[in-house]
Amino acid sequence: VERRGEILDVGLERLRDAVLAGPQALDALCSQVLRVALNGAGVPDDAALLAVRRVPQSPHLKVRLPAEPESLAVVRERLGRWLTEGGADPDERFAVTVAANEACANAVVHAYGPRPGPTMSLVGKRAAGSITIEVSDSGRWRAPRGRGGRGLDLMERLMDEVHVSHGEAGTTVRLRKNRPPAAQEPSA
Amino acid sequence: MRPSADSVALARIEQTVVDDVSLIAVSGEVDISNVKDLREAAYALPNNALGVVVDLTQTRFMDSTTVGLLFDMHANLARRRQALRVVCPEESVPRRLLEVTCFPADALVEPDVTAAVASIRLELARAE
Repeated sequence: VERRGEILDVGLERLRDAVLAGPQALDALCSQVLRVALNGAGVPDDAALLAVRRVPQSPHLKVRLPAEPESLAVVRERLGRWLTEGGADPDERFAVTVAANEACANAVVHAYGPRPGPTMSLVGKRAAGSITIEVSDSGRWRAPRGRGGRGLDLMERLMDEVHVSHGEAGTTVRLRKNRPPAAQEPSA
Repeated sequence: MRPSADSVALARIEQTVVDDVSLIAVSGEVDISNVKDLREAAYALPNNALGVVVDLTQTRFMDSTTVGLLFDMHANLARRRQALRVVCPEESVPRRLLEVTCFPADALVEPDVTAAVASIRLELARAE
């Protein structure tokens, strides 16, 4: 960018124009920028070009993990990042993370016997109007023992819809949190 | 692939005694994988302690089993004429959870552990 005999701003401006006028494909763009920035001539110093393209995040999140207690922190971490990137506010992040954690904990505790190996999956979808989370396992829930209902109660307090369906293939908990009209998908 | 959370402890639980009050400070996250550590700390209470302060200031996450444990502690300690105080900042995950589950407001103390210990001593002095 920097050339003898001209101020740095001129080189930066040249770089900016080259990027804006360049092709979409990253490889071709790099070639074009190098051609313009180096002026087609050899330069006495090494030149390096680092190009980063922001990949728009999918509005869907898919996580499949062993149905073990230790997986819950991983689910929360992945979910938290997805929610933040999707522009969820602190109230939404709190409600969705706590409720999804409870749904996953139920899959871990109630769905399977002690035999290791089974998994649980979480699918998150967000739209302007709502965030939905589906947590599925392939086991049959045992009835909660003791105060096991506290998790379900919490989900119902925090979410706008909680639906538990038990089928032959397993159990799915569907959670929906409505978003205020102002909440929009962030542009990529 | 092992979950990355395995490599470090999810929560650190520190237990001390200040002015005959047992302090349990929890930093990190509490869920079904480690709530038993907190349960053990909660029930390792000296019989002559005036009460327990659970400091959740550094607790980034907790779940319904943790809420259940705090409810149980509140009831059990009350039966034994010992007091419970939970310290958690406004807007924090523990505070939001305890509010949404209608945790007894008299056991929630805002500013810090010192205020919580003073609050327990005051309550027990009034009761005598």
